[in-house]
Amino acid sequence: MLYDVADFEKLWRCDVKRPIIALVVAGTVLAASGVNFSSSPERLVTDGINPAFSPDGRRIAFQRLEEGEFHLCVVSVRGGAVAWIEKGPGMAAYPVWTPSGGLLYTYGHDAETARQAWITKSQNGYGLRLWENGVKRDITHGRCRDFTPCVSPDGKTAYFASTRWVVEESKNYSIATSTDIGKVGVLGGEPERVVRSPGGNNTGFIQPAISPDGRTLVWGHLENFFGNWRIYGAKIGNLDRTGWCMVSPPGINALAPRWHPNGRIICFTGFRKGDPGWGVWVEDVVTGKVRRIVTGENPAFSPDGKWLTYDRDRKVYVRPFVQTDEPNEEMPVTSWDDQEPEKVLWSVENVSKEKSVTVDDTSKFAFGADKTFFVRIKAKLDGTSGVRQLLIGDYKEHELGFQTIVDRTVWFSTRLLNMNFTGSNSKAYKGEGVYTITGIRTAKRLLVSVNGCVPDTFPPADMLSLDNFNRFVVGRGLKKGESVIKAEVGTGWPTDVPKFRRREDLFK
Amino acid sequence: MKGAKMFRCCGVALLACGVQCFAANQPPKNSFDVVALVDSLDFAKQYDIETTTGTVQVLEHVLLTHANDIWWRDKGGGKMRYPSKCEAWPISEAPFDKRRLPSEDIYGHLRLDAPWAHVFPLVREECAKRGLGFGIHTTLEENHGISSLTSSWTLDHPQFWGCVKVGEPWMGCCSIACPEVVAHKMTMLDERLALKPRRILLDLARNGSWSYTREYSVQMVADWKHLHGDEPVPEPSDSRWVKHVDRYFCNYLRKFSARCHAAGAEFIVGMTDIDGREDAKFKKLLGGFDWKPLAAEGVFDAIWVMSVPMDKARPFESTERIYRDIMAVRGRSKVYFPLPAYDYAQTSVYSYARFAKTSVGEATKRLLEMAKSVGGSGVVMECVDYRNYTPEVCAAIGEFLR
Repeated sequence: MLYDVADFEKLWRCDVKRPIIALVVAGTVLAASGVNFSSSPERLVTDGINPAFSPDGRRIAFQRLEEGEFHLCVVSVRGGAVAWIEKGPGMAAYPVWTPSGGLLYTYGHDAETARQAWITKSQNGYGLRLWENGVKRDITHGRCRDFTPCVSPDGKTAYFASTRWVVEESKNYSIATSTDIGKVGVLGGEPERVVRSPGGNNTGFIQPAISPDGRTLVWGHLENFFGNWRIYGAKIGNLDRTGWCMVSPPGINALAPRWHPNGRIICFTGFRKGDPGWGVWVEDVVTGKVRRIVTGENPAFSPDGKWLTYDRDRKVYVRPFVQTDEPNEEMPVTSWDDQEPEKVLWSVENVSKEKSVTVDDTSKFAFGADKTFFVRIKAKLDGTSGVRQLLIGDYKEHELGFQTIVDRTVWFSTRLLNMNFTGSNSKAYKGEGVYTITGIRTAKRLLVSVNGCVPDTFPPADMLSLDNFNRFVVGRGLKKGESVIKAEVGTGWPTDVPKFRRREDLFK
Repeated sequence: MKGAKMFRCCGVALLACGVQCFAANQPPKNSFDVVALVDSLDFAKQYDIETTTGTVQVLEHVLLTHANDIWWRDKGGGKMRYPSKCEAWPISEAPFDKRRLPSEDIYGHLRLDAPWAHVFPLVREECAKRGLGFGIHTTLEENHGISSLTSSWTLDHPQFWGCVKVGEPWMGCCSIACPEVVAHKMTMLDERLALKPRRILLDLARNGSWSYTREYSVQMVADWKHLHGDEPVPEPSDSRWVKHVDRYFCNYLRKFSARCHAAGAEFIVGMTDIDGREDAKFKKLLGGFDWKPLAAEGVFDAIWVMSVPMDKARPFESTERIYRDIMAVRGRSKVYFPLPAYDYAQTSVYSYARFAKTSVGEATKRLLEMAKSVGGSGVVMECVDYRNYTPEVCAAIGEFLR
C-alpha cells in the first residue's frame, strides 16, 4: 500500500543511523493513522535509478536521466537538493561507493556515430571512473563497456562486468553479445578477467557483488537468450567454472545482487510468475529462503543493513529492512542429484566413415520430452574446418532428433517443437586431438561437456518429444584419418560429467 | 444550355481534381510493384546509416535493383529505429539497462532510436521525390534473439511475459492475452502510422520465437479456465489450445488492420512457406495459423508470400502451381510473391537458376512474369544490401518493368 509522505516526517526527522527509534516513531505514527502495519513503510527520496548508500549511510548516489543522458548525483537520504557528480556531456551510471567515500561508476562520452567509430578505430567506450574529493580519474579505457562495478571491502579492488575480452574473442566468432567479469585496482592498473563467460551468443554476466568478508562473489548471469537471469556465485579463490553454483532459486528471474553487511543475505531484482512486476527480493544464501519485499528494482542495503534503497518508476526510495522482511519462503533446491545414474543402452566402436545403424528395439530410444539421456562420443579429429556430425539420432519426428556436431565449436543439439534447431555449444574444442564429447538432454536443458569439463548449458523450453526412433547415423563428414573411436547412448546422468556445485556447498 | 455545359465542365473539373487528390495517395495505375525491403542495419558497415547522407546512399543503392516501392524496417527485434515514445524506457543503449548484454560490433553501437538519427521523414520525402511508394516493414518479434534488441517495454513488464506450458515466463515476448500488451502494440502502430506510410507490412516470420506454445501466460491460462472450467489446460500441439490462442491472435490482427485502415494505410502480412492447399497453414507459429479466413474477411489488404516450398526437381512448375493455389484462396487480399536473394532454404533466385539449369537473368524474368501472370500485385526483395541482387538480376528487373 502507499503512504502519505507526510505521515513519515517524524520518522525522517530521526537520524537514519538510529533506525530502531525511527521505527518506533514510525510505528506510533502509523498506528495512530490507522495504516496497516503488515506492509513496510517506504519514502520517496528523489527522481533517479540505481541508488547506493554512502559508507556513512547518510547519502545516496544514483543516476538520473535528463535530455537523453544519464547523470550522476548524490542526495541526502532525506531527499532535498542533489549534488551533481557528472552532468554531461556523456553518460554516467551504476555508482558504488568506496569505503573511503569515493564514487566508482561507469562513464563515457560516445559522440561519434557507430560507423565513424568503426572506421577510425575509436577508443571511446564506457570505462570506469573514480570520483574522490572532487577529483575524477578514469580507471579503465577502450572501445568496450566496463559497467556495474563493485568495490572490495578493503577498497582496493573493483570487480565489474565487461565486454573488453569478448571483443578480442569475437574476431573468430559471430555477433558478440556477451560479457565477462573483470577486476582492476580502484586506483588503476591493468584489468584482468576473473570470471569468463562460457561462450556462445547472449551468455554473460552483470553486476558482480563481493561479500563483506571479501571471500565470495555473486553476479547476475544470463545463461542464454532463451533462459532467464539467475544469480550465480563462487569463492574468490575459485572463480572458474568448477567453482560456480546457482545461488538464486529456480523459478525466479534474478539479477543485480547486493550483499547485506551480515554476509548472509543478498537483495536482488527479481520476478516470479504471478508477481505484479519486478520486485525487490532478499535471499538467505545459507538456507536458500527468499522473500519478495516490494515492487521495485536495483536494491542495495545501507552499510548497517537496517535500510534498503531501490528504484521504482524512475524514482529512488528507501525503507527500513526489519525482521519481518527477512527471507522466510522455502524454495526448491537447485540440485542435479535427482538424476538417475548412467545406463548405456547402445554403443558402437571404430567408425571412420559414415555409417547407418538400426537397432532391434527402437522403444529404448523413445525418450519423449522429459527423460534424461546422454550421448557420449570419443573421437579423433584433425582440427581442419568443416562440419562433422559425429552421431545423429534419426527420429520420425525429425531426422536430426539429436546430434553431436563439431565445427569451429562443439555442439549437442536437438529440435524445438517448431522443428527449429537448438543446441548447447562449447568452445573447448581446440583443434587436432582426441576428444570425449558428452551431450545431455534433460527435461529442461541441453548440456555439452568436453573431456569431462563442467558442461555448458542451454535452457530451451519447448523441446520436441522424441518418440519414434528410426536409426543412428555415425561419422557423417569425417575426414580421412578421423574416426569415432566409440559412441554411446544411454539414460541418466553420465558418469564422466561433473554436476554443478550446489548453493549449500558454497555457503556451508 | 450554357448553364448545363458550365455545370458539366465544373463537374469534370471537380472530378479530375478529386481523382488527382485521390491519386496522390494511391499507387500508380496499372503498376506491378517491385518492392525492396530495406533493413538499414544491413548497410551499417557500408554507409553511415545514422546520418541523412548515409540514408540517402542506402536508398540509392537499393534503387539499383529498379525497385519502385520501398518498405523501410522500423525496428530490429523490439529495438526501435525511430525515436519511439512508448519504447523510450528503459533506454535501449547498452550497457544502460542491466537486462541487456551489450553487443560489441558496429551493430551494437548504433543508436537509430535517437532523435538525431530519425531518418523516416527523410526516407518518406526522398521516396516521394522519386515517385516511389513508401511503406513500413515491421515485425511480430520483440527480441530478434538477442537481449540487446529486446523491447524496452517488454523488459519492463515481466508480468505480461509469454510462458511455455511448463516453465517460467521469458523476457523475449509478451502475451497477447493481456489487454495492456495489445494496447502497447497499438500505440506503437500509431507511432508508425504517424510516419505516414502507404502500407504497413507485419512480418509474421520474424516472430522472435513467439508462438502459440509461448502463450501459457497467467492471463491466457486464466481465460482457458474461465471458458472451460476444470478441463485441463491442453498441450501446445492440441488443436483446442491452438484454437484458444488463435482467437486472441486473430483479434489482434483485426485490430491492427482496423487501425491501419482508419489511417488510410494498407495492411499486409508476410508469411514463409505457405501454399494454397487445404491444410497449408503458416506453420512457424506452431499449431498453424490459418490465414485464409482472415484473408476472406478482408483483414489483410495483401499477403506477402515470403517463400514457397518449391520442388527442386521442377522449380518453376511447382512454384506456379503454388502461386495459383494461393491466388485461389487469397480472399479479398492482394498477393505479393517473393523474389528472394536469401538462400539458406535454397529458394533464392540463384537456386531457381541452378535447379532449372538456366541463367540468373532468365530465372529472374520467369519469376517476375509468373508472379504477374497469375495475378500477383508485385514481388518483394529482401536483403537488398551489397551485391545480394547481382547486376544480372537487376537488369532483368529493369527490363521487365520497361
